[in-house]
Amino acid sequence: MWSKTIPHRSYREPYLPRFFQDAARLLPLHGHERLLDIACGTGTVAFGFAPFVSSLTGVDMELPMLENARQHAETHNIDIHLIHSRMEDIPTETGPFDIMVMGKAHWYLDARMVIPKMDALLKEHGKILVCLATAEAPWRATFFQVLLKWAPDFPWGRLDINPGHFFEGSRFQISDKIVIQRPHMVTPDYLVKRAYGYPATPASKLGDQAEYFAADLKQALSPFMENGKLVEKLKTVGFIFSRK
Amino acid sequence: MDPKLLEILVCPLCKSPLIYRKSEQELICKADRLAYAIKDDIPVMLADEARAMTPEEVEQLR
Repeated sequence: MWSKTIPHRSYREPYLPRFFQDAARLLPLHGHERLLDIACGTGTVAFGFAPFVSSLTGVDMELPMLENARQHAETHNIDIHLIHSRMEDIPTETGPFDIMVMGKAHWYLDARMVIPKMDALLKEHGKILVCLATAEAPWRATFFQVLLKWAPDFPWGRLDINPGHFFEGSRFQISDKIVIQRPHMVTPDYLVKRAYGYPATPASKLGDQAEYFAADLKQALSPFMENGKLVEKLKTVGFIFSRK
Repeated sequence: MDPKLLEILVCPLCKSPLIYRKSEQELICKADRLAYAIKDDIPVMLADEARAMTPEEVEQLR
């Protein structure tokens, strides 16, 4: 599902660089830690923490995403172990890890299967960091209404699962939170490409309807434009979970 | 491929240790007669994507 988003992923809301520095300070990371990125995808979160830990391991179910991560790691000379596997099948011997990170994995993973494995793989005083790259803007509800119209079969309900829901009933609870924000200007064309970078509306799924989708989205956004641009506030949020 | 990583990977079905066949870029589970591919240094640890091995192939590993 996520692999189709690869060509347009760079248009999505980014993880703001300061987020990794602040998270490393708050966790804290000292440089000797082993990090596991759960459902790592193209490895964006793991790579953000590369300067702050001693080893990176990434697990994901989609091979094209892992291949993209491997290419990035090669290009930037980053050492990472990548495993194409279900999280629940990762051998306990792969651990223990000091820190586990997740992007939006909590939307898709089966908490009942995955959390016991995380518990087994995490050191006693280890921490889990759920990282969410998002944005706030007056036009955002309209933007998503258009996406919903064009992708009614997408499991939108999964997006309502917040990290707190995911870990509910487990041994883990939120112990800290990080929020980094920055204003950002975008064009309607940019937002069309961002929509192609979402799993609900990748260009390859829209096929020959992509240009009609683009026109529909631009028209819906036009009332929010000022001098051809739209304003948003990029936001990277991190929830740190520790054992109770 | 990091040898340390290969040492700790196990068969996702039976949790048995795996045999690394470097020339074929595969990880073998003798118990389940499955060969897990390593694609571009990424081990594919999914049973439904593993290659079923013949008994003769497994026998040759002994």
